[in-house]
Amino acid sequence: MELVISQLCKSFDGHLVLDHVNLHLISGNIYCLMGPSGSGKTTLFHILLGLVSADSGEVKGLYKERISAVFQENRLCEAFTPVENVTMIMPSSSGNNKRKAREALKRLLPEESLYRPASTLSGGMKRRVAIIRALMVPFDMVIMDEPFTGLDEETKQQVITYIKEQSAGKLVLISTHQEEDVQLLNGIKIHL
Amino acid sequence: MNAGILRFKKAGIILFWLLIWQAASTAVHNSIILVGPLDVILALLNQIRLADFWKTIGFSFGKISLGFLSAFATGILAGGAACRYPLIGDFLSPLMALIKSVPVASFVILALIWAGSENLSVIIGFLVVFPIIYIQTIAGIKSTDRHLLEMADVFKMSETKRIFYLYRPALLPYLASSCRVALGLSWKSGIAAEVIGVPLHSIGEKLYLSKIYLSTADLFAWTLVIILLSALFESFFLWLLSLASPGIRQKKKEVGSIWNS
Repeated sequence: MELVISQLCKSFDGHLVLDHVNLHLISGNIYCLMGPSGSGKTTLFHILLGLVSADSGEVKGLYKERISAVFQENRLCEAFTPVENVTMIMPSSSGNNKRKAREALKRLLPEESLYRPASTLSGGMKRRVAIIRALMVPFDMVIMDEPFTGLDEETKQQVITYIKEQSAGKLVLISTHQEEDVQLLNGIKIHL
Repeated sequence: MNAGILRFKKAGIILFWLLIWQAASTAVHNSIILVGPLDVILALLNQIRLADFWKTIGFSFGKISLGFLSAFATGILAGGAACRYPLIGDFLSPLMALIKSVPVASFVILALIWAGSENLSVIIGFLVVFPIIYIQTIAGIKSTDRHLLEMADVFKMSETKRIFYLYRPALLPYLASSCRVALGLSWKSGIAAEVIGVPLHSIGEKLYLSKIYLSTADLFAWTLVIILLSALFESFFLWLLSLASPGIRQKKKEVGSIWNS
């Protein structure tokens, strides 16, 4: 997959958020999007996810591609368990999906937390559920908006290992404020 | 305050008002104007022994419940359809305004002319409950978290999964609170319709006869029966509704419940 973003612009209420953004992204790489708060990282992600339309510019290579995402907010269904939150977005409902979701979740979460409503989980646990959910669907590109928020160093390391393993050969676009994340991910730094 | 003391306090307050009622009845000393609680209980005990009592309860309970349940199901379907296809909402809007503004008594007379007295309480129960459920269904669906709907779009969730995982949890609290109102109203309006239409073997007929024979004790006894039936049906139905929502049951433990409030 090759994603080419050319001259992308977006403004809200007259305030220019994205000013002629140009990017060239290729599968097999992890791109770390850096920039201060308000620099338009989330807006760019929303445009790529089709949630917001750009004012001008072009995005090539997105057509029919499967995109997955970790949103800035976790966007979990709070009344449902982590297992349900993962299986609900998997293409078909089967016992096999449950088993796969359970196995994946057990890698990053304590087993007792898998069957509790998401509303009872800590912020860090919810973040991990959101990350696993994004990596459990078939995808060609995954967008992660500040995925390491609320994670301690040890957990972050586990999560990074998991992300690298599950997204091998795919296009990964991650926004972060930490320079060290770029090294841990073996990522390519992009400034917005 | 622990639960035991709270129950004792509640029982004390109820006993206080019963004593006031009994004292007022004794002071008035006229069983047509005001009967005491003891007379009401005696009248009720006399009724309970009769097979006709249970037949009457079965008739009115069946008809009013049927009116409520059909309005509940139709209200949800119509509300869902109006959200999915706004044109349906536009078409139903004047109908809802009409149902809400026309007095129940007018509907009762019309229903008597069109359908007779047999199913009067079904029709009236339906007409009273339907707009409430319809409006609350729309409000519940519209309250679904926009962020979750975007998430569903990104992950291409099927319509069935959206209904089950996203719309259902958003809708159920609205349905629970609307049912609390609608259940009481369906009983009140259903019985009122029966009093006007006087279908055979209905509670309304018994209330009407109490008026004819100036039997205030029977009137109070049947009123007590209506209150009990309404409360039982409401508790049972809200319990059934709560089963449809494991998440809301969890929330109940956390913040105290809309179901028991």
